[in-house]
Order: sequence, then C-alpha cells, then structure tokens
Amino acid sequence: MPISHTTCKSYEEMSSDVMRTASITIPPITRGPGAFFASLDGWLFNNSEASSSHAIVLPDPSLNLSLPYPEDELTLIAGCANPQALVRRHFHLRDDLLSSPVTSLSGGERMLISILKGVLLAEKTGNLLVCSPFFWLDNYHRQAVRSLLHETGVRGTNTNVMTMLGEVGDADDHTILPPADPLEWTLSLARVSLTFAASRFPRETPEKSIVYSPSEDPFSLKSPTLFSGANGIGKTTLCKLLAGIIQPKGRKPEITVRGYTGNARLTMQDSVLQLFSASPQMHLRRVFAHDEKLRDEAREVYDELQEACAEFLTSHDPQQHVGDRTTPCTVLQAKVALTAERLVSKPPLLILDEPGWCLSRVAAQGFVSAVTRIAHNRRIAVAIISHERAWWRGLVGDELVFSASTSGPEVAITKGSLT
Amino acid sequence: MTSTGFLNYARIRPWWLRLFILLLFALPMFGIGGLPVQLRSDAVFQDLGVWVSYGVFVWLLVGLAVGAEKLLSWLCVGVIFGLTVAVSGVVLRHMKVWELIQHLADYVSKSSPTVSTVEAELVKRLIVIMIAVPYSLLVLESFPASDILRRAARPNGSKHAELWLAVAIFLRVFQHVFEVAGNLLLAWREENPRLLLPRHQRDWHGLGAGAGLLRWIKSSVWSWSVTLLEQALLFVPTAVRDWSRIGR
Repeated sequence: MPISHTTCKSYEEMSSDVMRTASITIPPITRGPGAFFASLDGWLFNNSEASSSHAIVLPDPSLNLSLPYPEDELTLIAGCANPQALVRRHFHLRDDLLSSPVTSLSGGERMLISILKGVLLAEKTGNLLVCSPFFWLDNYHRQAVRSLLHETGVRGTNTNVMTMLGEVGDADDHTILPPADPLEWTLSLARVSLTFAASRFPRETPEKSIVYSPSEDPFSLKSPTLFSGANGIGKTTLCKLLAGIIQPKGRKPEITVRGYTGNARLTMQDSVLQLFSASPQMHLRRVFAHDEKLRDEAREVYDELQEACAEFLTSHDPQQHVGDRTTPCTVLQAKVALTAERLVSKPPLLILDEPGWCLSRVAAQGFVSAVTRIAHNRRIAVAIISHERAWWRGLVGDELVFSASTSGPEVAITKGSLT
Repeated sequence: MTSTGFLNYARIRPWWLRLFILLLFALPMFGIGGLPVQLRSDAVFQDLGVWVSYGVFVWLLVGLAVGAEKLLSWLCVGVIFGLTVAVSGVVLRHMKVWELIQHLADYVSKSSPTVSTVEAELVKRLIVIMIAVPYSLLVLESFPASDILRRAARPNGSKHAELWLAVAIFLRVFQHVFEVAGNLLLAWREENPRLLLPRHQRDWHGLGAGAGLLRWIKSSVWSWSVTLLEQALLFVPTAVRDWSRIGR
C-alpha cells in the first residue's frame, strides 16, 4: 500500500489534521492553562473508533512513550519478542539504550523508539499516523525511518506521514540565508567530561560517560555556530553544561565573547516545557514580574523578532503567518517569547536547540536569522543545534561536528565546513 | 565506575511482602511507634530530636537504595515543599489566623496548643515532609508499573485486569510526574540559576523585597502546580491507549 504524505505549514495546522485523521485532540499548551483545560475533554475522553484504530507517533516523543524503559515499550505494549535485534537491525543504536530510562535518552533516540513502537502497533491496528518524525533525526536515521515506513506500507499498513513544510525537502531548493554581521567567540572544552552514574534501583541501568575531546582548545568560532552530529552523541548535554544547568565532573567549559565570559542561555529541544504552561505573553509577564524595565525591553525585542519573522514569511511564502498578534499562541510565538527573554538577559552565548522543531522551513529560517541579527547587535553569540544543515547555509559562520570514538566515551569535536 | 544504591526493594517478592516492609518504615508517620505526634511544650527540642533521628533512619534506607545523589535531589524536593508549607504557616501566624484557630479550639478541647507550640509544630511539619517526600518517592519507584501491567496481561490475571490497569495508571502517573519534574527543574534552573530567587529582580528594594519574594514564591508555586498537573493529564490518554492494547 503506498504511503500517503501530508504537508503542514504550521504545528497548529498539523494538530487539526491529526484531529481530522485520527480523532485525537492535541491540547494547545502554548495557549495557557485556560485553553489547555478547556480542550481536555477531547484529549482525555476521546475513545472514538478512529483514535483506537490508529497507531500514532506525535511530534513530541514524550507524548508517545508511557513506560519508563524503552524495552518495556517495545515488549510489553508493542509485543516485540526481541527488541534488541529490532533496534540493532533498523537503527544501529547502542546496545544499552533499551535498558536506559527513557528520560536519559536524547530527543532523537526517543523519537526512534516512538517510531518503532508505532510501526509494531500498526501491525495490529492496520493504520499508522506519523507526525513530523524526521526533524530530530540525523541523516542516517532519517533514511532508516524512510525504509522502515516503506516496509510498513509494503506489508499493507495504511501509513500516513505528516511533515512540516520543508522537513523532507530537497536541499537544493532551500532559501540561502544572507550572512550575519561578524561576531567571534571562543569555546574552551578541554578536559570537560560528565558521568551519569549507574543505578541499581528500581532497575539496573548502566553508567554513561561523555568525555569531550576538542581538536583545538580554545576553538575560535564565528557566530552563529552550528553544532551537528549523530543522535545521542551528546550535543544537548554539552549545551546544558554550557548553560550551567548540569555540572561537569572536572573542569567547566568556558565561553568568551569580546572578553566577556559567563554561562550561556538555552532554549531547549522541548522548549514548550520552558513556558511553564503559560502563553507567550503570560510568560514574559511572569518572568519579568519583578523587573519592569527589562519587561519593556523584552516586549520590544519580542515585537521586533515577531515583525522580522512576519516580514520573512511574507516575502518567502505569503500563505504562512506568525499567528494572531493580539493573543499570541502559536509555537513560533512561544519560541519568540522564550528567545526575547534570553536576549535581554545579555548572556555571552544564546543556544537554540533544534530551533526549527514544529516550524516550517521558512518560518525556522526567518526566526533564526532574526534572532541572530538581534543577538549580534547586542554582542551575543549564537549556537544552533540542528540536523537540518542545509537550512542554515549562508547564515552559519562555523560548524562544530561531534563524532563518537570507536571505543570509549570520547566525543571528538572538530571544526567542519558547511560548504 | 560510579554506581548508586546497594538495596533494591523492587526485587522483594511477592509484592505484598515488599509493601509490608515499606509500610513498616512509615509507621511513625502514621502515629504508630511512639514518636511524639504532638510536641510537648516542656520538651520541644527533645521531641524534634526524635523526629530528626527517625528522619536520618529513613534517609539512610532511601539512600541505600537510590544512592546519595538521588537522595539529595529528593530531599531538595522535600525541603522546597516543606518550606512552602512552613512559610505559609508563618504567614498565617502573622495574620493571626493561628490565634483564631486556637480560640476556636479552646471551645473544643482544654488542651489546645499554645502559639509557641504552633511555631514548633511548623518546624516538625517541615521535618516530617522532608522525611515523607523521599520515602513516598521510594515507595512509588518500588512498584514499577510495567510489573503490574505484566500481571494484568497474564491469562490468569485477566479476572482483575481492569483493576491492575487502574493501579498501574495511578502509580505511573505519579512516577511520570516526578520524571517530568526532573526536566522542569532543569528548565527552571536555566530560567532562575539560583533556583529559589528569580533571575530578574531589579524592582526589589528595601522592605518591598520581602513582599516581592512572597509574590514570586506564590507565582512559582502556581506555575509548578499547573505545569505538573498539565503534564500528568497529558500522560493519561497515552497510557490508557497503550495499555489497553496489552495482551490483545
């Protein structure tokens, strides 16, 4: 059976398509608690035949996994007798991944487990709906997922893949972004390492260590800098170290921009969680409730960013828009609010972890180029974690490539080239 | 190699023996075992000392299972929760609500607590919460939802399958919320590096700082509560949809 493809211009459009196809209402987290609780009826109590006859993979993998260990997801729920062999055959993931807690997996790894689970469940339901599966995956795993979905279709499963506009586009037709004003920064990573201790309770989980091994120290980098590498290699972990929210075992990494050092600010992969259930406007009100001057500044930056995104969208695809300006609630506006807050706190480095997640290519490009321009005006360097390398061609100054050593916990970091 | 924990309560079989052993540890919190439920006004520090000793015993039992690092993070949750309760208590005290309660209680009982005992009670409550939170998390983690689901999926377990499913969902929602709380804590630390103070607080001057801090605590407690509730509710349909397919 051929795979049907649906392309969506925004996350909000994808949500309504999911509702139409599988009768599942995805609660609007970015609209604030009032809208969330008002929509709960559809989310909590929808037991229609359409929803139970579909195996669904939602774009946020945390909504796809209900048990704490991937092994249980695949054996107990999806009925797979030998999940290790399956994971190895399709995705070549590390052996200890299945016995590690879901919370310790990277976003890409969680998405891969979600897809495997969805494919296995679809053998029983006959229908598979996969939403935006490629964004968090590296090239190798994208290809592996395409093959897996193709196999599923061939076996007779009715497979529908929904993607954001540009998520699986041809690299050649991408808009090439203009270069940003130059801003250099340095990153010192020598002897930075981290160990996640093994645990015996409630289940044996192995120890995991990451030792960052830069090819030069310090790196002298042009902003914006792209961090790229395979799923689960430790890119997001490094960003958490740079933001000072987790602590390394030994030496701390050092960021310097024009003699100014400090911790980076980070918008996370699952950035919606950083809103703490507020809408974009509520978020700014909450964070700056005790600093009126910065609140006004953040609102100005918010307006400037939103306007720049709107202009970019109008000039590249007039059918797309940033969302309602009076009651902002789209994922793009949520990202704009989170970024505005970070920009006015004047960190040396702003890290955008998968800034394009749940955005179309054009919206993501407009957003990142606007953020870079405003950040550079404020002497803030920008780093982007992304698997969509082609989206940022022209804009990105330097690339840091993360690659695993053949044995041991070392992660080699080298300067790459986007050309 | 670093590792955590030596004891694994989740391995105690059968499940009711595990539950029995874990409940034994908690008896003093239910008022059984001789620990002072009401602090005596003439031996406040002695009574508080007994509660702290019991706390050390429970923390040791928890620490032996989960390791020092996790115990510390669970204790942090307990401290924050306990401080919220204690601070609310102090606010009520300053609003003279305790006196009102005391006057009302005088009508009911001749041995109602004095105001000074009430303050010591707040300290005791903080200690009890610091004991109860890590203990509760240990109990929740000692009963993995997947074990219960396996039981529900067994052919001879189908008689009570619905019940086991409900128990598993109940347990898993709590476990899930604490997993999400871990991620939220990282997001919170990113937003507020000092955790218990906001990143942006330029408007706090002199006496206004105290009022500002109270307002910030109130808004933070609200944000955390709503977010955790949302995350718990978001999880339920996924669990129900997934788990109702088990064994089919």
